[in-house]
Amino acid sequence: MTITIPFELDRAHRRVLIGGEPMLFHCHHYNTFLQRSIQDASYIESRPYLIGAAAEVAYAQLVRLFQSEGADDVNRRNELASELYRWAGFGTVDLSAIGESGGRVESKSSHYARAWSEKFGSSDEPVCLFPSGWIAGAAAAIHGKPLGSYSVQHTSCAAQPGKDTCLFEVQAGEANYDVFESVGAGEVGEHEQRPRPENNIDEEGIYEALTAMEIAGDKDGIIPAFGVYLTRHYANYYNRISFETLRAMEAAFGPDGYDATRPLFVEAGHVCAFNTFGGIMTSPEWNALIRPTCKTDADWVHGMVACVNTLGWGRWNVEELSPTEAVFSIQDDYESVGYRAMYGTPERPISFLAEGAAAGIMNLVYRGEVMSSPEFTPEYYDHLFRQTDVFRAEPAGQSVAMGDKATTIRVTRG
Amino acid sequence: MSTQTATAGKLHSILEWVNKEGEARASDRLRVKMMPELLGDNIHFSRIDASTCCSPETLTKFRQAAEEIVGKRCPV
Repeated sequence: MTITIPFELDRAHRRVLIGGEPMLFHCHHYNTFLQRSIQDASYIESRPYLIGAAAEVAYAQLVRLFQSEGADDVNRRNELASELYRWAGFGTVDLSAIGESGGRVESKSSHYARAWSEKFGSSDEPVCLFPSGWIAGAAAAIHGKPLGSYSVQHTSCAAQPGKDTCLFEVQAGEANYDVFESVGAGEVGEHEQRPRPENNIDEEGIYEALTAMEIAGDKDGIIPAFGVYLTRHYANYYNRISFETLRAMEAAFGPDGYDATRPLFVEAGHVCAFNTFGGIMTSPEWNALIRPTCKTDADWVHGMVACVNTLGWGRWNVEELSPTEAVFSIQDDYESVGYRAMYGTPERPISFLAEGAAAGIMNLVYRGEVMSSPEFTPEYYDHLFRQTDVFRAEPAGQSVAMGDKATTIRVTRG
Repeated sequence: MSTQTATAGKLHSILEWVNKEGEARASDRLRVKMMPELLGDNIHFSRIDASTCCSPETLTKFRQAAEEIVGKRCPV
């Protein structure tokens, strides 16, 4: 049976909605780096929300999807949910083993387990916390129960030494994770054209071409693309796990908690830019579609920003650009939209991923000569992000999370 | 010599080792891992220098965390 994933492209706000949940692309480097950074604060009890945030988005999305697709019986719901999971690049999962009272779910292929093993090596502990929560949330949606009606134990993980399968024991009863109500799509602004220096990039053409590309999981539910494993992940998952951590750190340590957490979340953005943006800017797709229009180094920046606008991260723009400095603006950046919907107005800007990604673009183009198709090695990473004269980002005065029309980020060198 | 004084400079040396041997932002990971212990010893991470002293327990945990992050035995 062929199942088409109902996919809503919100062109004005440069995002994608599926079952009311904003979904966006991130790579395995980002996914694992972010999870490890959160778990580094081992004195914060993060596991309940690392799992609970996944249950939250899966449940909210699937309840809506089942309704919109007329999926009334359990078999049809199992198929639709499993196919969505595979399509999004999370791996494969057989949900048919879950009855009303629960069951054991096997996953022969897991994005998180594969990613963790490849990036960090094997793990003593199971790492598939997102899949754990997703399965628990899906179980509730499939069987028509309220969110939090199933507990989940991740008893074996393919990232552990000698293991090749992930196992999840699902049981009807009290949730053993935090239960959140999804904020769904959140509130976005009215799109308006921001200032942009003259350049040779056809931003709209790139948007149309790249959003028309079929980027979906293979038979194993893996999306190998641009030298990374991509996922079509949930904005509300990233936001929930990042901001729960930030708020817990602030509650425990005050401003020091913010100061300690921020660099790691920005670094996650560097990791993302280096791997995914680097992969895109050296890809056959870039060479065919975008490189021929790049007449200057600045065009490479604008070209990459045009690609970012296809990732579901909001509407990115470069307002000022020179070889030593840039100002990026982002309308409806997903971090801000999510924070406001979940927690209200923050005291400080919270677009950490965006800061790291913006700095990453400048480092790739103006320090890394990405146009010469370098090898993406640890040494190259250190060259781009670890020297004293690298580009660094900082908030530039406006934040969607704080009520402004755009989030602005200044990137400077040295 | 007190047990605190005996640790003078050790945190700084370990931190320098992490910066040299670890990946980018390794020291930021160390900071996050050690927040409670450093707070307990009234030590601000960004002000660790060659004169900084700490409790022996904190020094042990700091070294363990550093080794975990770098993936090597710490020579300090």
